[in-house]
Amino acid sequence: MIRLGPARRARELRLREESPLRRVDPRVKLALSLGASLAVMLPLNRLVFFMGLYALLLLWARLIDEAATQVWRLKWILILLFLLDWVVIGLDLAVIITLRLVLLAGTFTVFFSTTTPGELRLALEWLRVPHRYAFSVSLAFQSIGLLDDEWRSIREAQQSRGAWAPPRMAEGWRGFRPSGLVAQVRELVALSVPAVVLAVKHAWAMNEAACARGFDSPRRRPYRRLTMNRLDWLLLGGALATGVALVWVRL
Amino acid sequence: MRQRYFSTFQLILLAQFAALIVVAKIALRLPLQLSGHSGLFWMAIMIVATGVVPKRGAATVVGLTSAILAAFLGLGDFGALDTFLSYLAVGVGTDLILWLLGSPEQPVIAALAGALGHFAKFLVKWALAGVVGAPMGFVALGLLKAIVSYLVFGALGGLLGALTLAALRKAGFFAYLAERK
Amino acid sequence: MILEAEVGLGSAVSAEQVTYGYFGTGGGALTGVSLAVAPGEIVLITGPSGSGKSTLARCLTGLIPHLYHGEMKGVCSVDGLSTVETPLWELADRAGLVFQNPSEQLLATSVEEEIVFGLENLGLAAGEIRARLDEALARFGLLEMRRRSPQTLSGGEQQKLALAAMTARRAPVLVLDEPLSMLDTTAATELVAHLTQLARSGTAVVLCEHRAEYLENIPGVRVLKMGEQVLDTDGLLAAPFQSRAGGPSCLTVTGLGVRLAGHRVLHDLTFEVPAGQVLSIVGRNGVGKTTLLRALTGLQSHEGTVLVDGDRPGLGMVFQNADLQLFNATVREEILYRLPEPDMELYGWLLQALGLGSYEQMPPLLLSEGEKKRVALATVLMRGPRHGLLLDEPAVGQDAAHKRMLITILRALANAGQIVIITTHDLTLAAQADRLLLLGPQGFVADGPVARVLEDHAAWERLGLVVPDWVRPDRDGDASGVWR
Repeated sequence: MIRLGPARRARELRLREESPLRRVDPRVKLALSLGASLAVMLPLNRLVFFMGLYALLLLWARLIDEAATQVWRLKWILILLFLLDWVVIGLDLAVIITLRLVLLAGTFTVFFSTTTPGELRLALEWLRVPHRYAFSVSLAFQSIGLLDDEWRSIREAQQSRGAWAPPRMAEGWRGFRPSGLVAQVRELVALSVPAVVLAVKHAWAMNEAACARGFDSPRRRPYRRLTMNRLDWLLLGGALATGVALVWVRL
Repeated sequence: MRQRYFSTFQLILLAQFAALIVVAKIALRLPLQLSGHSGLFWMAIMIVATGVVPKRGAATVVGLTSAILAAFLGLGDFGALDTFLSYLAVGVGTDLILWLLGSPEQPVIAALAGALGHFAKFLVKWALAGVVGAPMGFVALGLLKAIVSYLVFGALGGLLGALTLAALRKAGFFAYLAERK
Repeated sequence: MILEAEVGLGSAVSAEQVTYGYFGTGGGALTGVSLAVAPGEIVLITGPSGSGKSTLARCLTGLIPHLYHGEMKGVCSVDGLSTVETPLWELADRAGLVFQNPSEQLLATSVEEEIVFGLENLGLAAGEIRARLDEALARFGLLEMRRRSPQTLSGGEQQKLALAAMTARRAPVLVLDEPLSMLDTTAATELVAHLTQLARSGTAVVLCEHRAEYLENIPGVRVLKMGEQVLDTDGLLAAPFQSRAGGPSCLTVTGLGVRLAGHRVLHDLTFEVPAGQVLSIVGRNGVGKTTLLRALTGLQSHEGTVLVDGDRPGLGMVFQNADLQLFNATVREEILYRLPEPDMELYGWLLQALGLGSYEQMPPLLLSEGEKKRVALATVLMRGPRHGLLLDEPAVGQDAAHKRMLITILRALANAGQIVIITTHDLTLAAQADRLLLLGPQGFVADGPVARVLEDHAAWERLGLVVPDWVRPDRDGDASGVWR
């Protein structure tokens, strides 16, 4: 059993297996997210209508709580900006700016909460991104847990031999004395050197392991390919129709 | 076989640096309540990456990969689009600055690249604020403290990157790298 | 050095007068090595750390010279193809390489994808890939975990997966670089059984391994030795460790429990460790041995109390991975880092005792894994921990001679009144301690003098570990530790 560090936990908590969008083609989800981002350019009444439709999609996809969490994190900035805009410019603009920010904060939830790194790699390869790069991205995902554990271990190892001491939480900013900033940065070398060395060694080990299994062979044939099913076409068609309607139909 | 611009090892290595940035962002927070303080390790890793893989575009690859990872992990406050663009901008910005200034192993250049590269992240927020129509004067005023913080921690990160590169060189690590293709 | 003179036709893999040198250090270089391995044969290559076993493994599979810049002389052939002239991806179809560290060689997001990765590179049709995938999963007992992330598997399962992924490619040659060093006895025995089965089906197996005892007694295995190393440990007992003032102390652990990410890893552990003895803690991969050490040093928050003579313990810890802490320019700077008044007599003794004398001005990062671990041990010993020393898997990467040297140093430390605890899955090292403590998922399974615990078959069965015949206690031991 391997311990889950905060970074790996963050990812594991984020993937929503129960969402019906989990089975949808990643290209469709990417198109939906990008399309939704473009909706920030709509005038107020159409924007409100679109956000209503988008909320319904999130509700169906069981992602409304995830999107709400994203927006909730922004609450103070949204409130402040809304009040400022209202006082300085006017209520209409304050409302539309706030709605646009809300939309931007939540649009990519449908993609990132329901797609695995493996599916992302397939989507990238379909987009003609070189296989070697797409592969390195999926390796980076793999390594997050490992590197996370190592960051912790490096700190502990250096702390236990007296090579580094963590700033005390209670001191906060004062613990990081501005007078000796450079000296304190110099102390962090005890952490950064082992971190870099380990990252390089992982990269080399993975490079060797990949080459030992024929990586970069010109004969490579992908086992899995992305295929569009009926739901994928339905969602894509629906999104296109909505887009056209919002641009052309007057509400 | 035809020579590629980045070897497979270099691509994997840059991706590992991107993962390291994300891990540092999540797991290695200093107890400081200042926006931009995470730039210390972020820019240090970025500068180290450009020193270890001394080719134009190395920082952009790290930026792009960390952007994908960060967006996937739900980092950042303004949603995945802002996160993606911010991380990417840091990589592109660092590459541009180093293209103009030179080697990241020089502490002053590294500190400048760190500060300005990190500042590119702020520019993304500025641009997005422009897209949604927020009044730029107020955005600038509200973020004035943040700008200083971005620059200071970015510069310190750049300095840490240069110090790390120097320590790696003294420790013979570049000899280890030199015998690997 | 000639390992086997009959380099002939019909060999699956061969090396003829192969010489290779690295830029950085002299360690790991090869000088004039010749070897031939026939289909269906198992060849075990043993030798001390730095004798070039890993380098040979890379030469035989073509990683050297395709991925390394160093200078190679001589000829290696795989299935009749020269490793220099044939592209690496084509060589990989004929000779696979399994590495030491299980977690670093796994590249995919699921067990299934891990096996598929190598098959895609062969250019096989989807139907053939599916058939080979199912066969590999079934053969290695991985069917139940096919959708799991490789990073969530235990070390033994990960190494099994690495072997499954490699053998699914059906290369006629399989080379393994210290695949057993991180495995517990059960996982190692299981892996060896898979290898003998593979050889029976015609695969030529070359195994570079310190832990030769797992294979030496298997009929038909050819054992080849690369270099001999004799370490003089006679003078080590006269160690200049300061005896503790105030009499022997005792580590008392009461009700220790640890939760990680919502999972209970350790539960209600109560035990005592008096100074003056070397205690080995043994358990399966992933049972929580490292977490226990971290809790004892105070690095891991925990339930219960950990005290030495009623006080907070002052225990030094040597981590499994030495790379976590090395960052200085020379071994000397590393060991003396931030010591205002270092004990130079102890420093000199440590250099000699740990076999680091000739590396004093070398960068630690360029040393072999075993040497780096010894530098890490020296850095901790130089700080003179108040109550004792904890070592996490110190045997990994160490050859038999260095393991003997290590246990001698630890005994000297114990004789000076220190508490010494090691965690290990290497039973040859564990058997040289004074006391053995078996840790299972539910808590301790057995505790006592090594000879007695080794005979407690019921306890080992409950632990899920086998005790191979060749594990023997170093001495009878008179451990007086108490486990309740």
